[in-house]
Amino acid sequence: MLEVNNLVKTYGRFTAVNDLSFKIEKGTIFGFVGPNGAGKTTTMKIMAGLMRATRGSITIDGDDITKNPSLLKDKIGYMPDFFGVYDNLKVSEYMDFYAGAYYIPVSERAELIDNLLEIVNLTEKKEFYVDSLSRGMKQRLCLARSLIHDPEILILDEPASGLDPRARVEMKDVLKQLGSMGKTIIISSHILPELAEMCTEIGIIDHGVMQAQGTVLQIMRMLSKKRIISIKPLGKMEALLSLLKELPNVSNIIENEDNIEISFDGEDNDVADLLTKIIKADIPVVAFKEKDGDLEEIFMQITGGDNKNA
Amino acid sequence: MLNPILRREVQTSLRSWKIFGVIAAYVGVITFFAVLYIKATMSGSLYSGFDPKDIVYLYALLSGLQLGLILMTAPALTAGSISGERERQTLDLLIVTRMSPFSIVFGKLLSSIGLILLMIIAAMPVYAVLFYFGGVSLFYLLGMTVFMLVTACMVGSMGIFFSAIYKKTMVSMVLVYLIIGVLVVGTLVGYLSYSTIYIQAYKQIYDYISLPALYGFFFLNPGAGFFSVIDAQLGTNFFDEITMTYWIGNGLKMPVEMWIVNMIGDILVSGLFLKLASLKINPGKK
Repeated sequence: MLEVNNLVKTYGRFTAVNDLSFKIEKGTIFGFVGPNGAGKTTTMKIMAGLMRATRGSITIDGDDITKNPSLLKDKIGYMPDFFGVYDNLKVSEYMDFYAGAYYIPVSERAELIDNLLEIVNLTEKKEFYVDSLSRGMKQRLCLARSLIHDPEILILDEPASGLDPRARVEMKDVLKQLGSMGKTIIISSHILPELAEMCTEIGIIDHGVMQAQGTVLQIMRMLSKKRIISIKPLGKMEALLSLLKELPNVSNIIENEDNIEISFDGEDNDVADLLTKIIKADIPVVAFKEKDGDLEEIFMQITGGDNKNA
Repeated sequence: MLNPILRREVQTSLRSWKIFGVIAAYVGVITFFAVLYIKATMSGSLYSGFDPKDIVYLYALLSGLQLGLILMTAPALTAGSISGERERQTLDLLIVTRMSPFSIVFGKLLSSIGLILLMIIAAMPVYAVLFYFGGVSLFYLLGMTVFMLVTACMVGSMGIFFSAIYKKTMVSMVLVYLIIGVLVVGTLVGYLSYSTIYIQAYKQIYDYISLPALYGFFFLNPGAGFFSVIDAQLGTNFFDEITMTYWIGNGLKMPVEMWIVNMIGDILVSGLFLKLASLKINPGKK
């Protein structure tokens, strides 16, 4: 488990990270969200060992990595938001160079590099010069580089920035695959809906302070205290509408073409009761689903100055 | 295991035509002066030949030329080593690896020294003319090469240090050239001024003050080290003549040859600048 405890980073009088604390369980894909200047990159750089914290600690399974740089380098793979590549170097040589920089034995490198290039779908580009690759390919190559020493935790600062939609999808697929391999991934992005889709947990940071942390659903509920439920009946739309209007914890009923969306105030058992009532009213239900909500809206709400909601 | 930075830089630089251009220019300049020297020596002879004894001076000339070219090249090779990584946005990717900051800067130095060694080796055929006439042994040449490489380490480590401090490569390069100027010319002027003032003021025996002054002023002067090597190898007195100690009494007897002091000084300064550069790029020390 990764634990950030009371992390503070100041530059003179400016506080970039202000007493930040959070925990990330092993295997979590954690979305780190915040507006520009919120303290995401600073936090990530401290985690990656590229910057020293003014105060606070970062522990992995109880070991303070801020005091143990070699442990940090072993456990963490880092991909910055902006990075360059060397001229006159082929993809395989680029990977071999970083394998050397991580002191991976020469005998293990060829197979390792092949495996990593396969994960990021760059096998066929192995003998191409790095500077001839597209931006999306370079991003994936940099991701493969960050995996070369098989780190437990991957820190990816805005990995989708500047990518076209297709490259974004490819990057997302690779990250999902890495998540399924059990890696803990911390990923920052401004593309919030994509994070919501990919991440198992989200942390929203603003002014160096964690404003909200949890699953998208948890954050939604924490803010609105209401769930958004979509119900798709098989016919009997009118009957369902009149039933829902009678229920006290249902509000904001929106009738769509083939389903009804409602705001529902209640816990899990209340949701189960709602479904039971609909079934008992002899209304056939094709789909009954709680919606994730609009993360973009949540983000704006949290970071738009209305912090009391968080 | 070979330093990964050394390996990568050798690999990439040898793919570029630029390095072949630099080596060709380097060998070309040395060849030009070698031909010029032989031609000038022959033109003074009645029989269109030259005294083979003069060939040892060609060795001194070529070696001095090489040292001068190395002093010009080493800053250019190293002054962009760290700032170039910063500009390319690859420095962070290096720092997060298991390489220590010292091995990063040391790798940078090794790759620059490797290229300088390549230039020296490329110029070896020009030296072949010396062996044809004799008078200079291969060990002399090897000894001189070691001296040049140690000097290149000192200048190169300065380049790396300034490159770690300043974002612009040009600033680092100018600063190293300024320091080289001070070390080569500044210390000589300083020594000569100091000695002249001392003699005029006290009119005392010159050599009592000369030893500490000589070591003090010249322990990092590549020119002083060079002439000391030449004197030790060829039995000449260039160093004594330049420092005006030759015509005082029986000449100054130095307990430790200047080139030895010079090389020790170079190694210590190289270590210091590399350490400072590594501290500069170490995020843990920021």
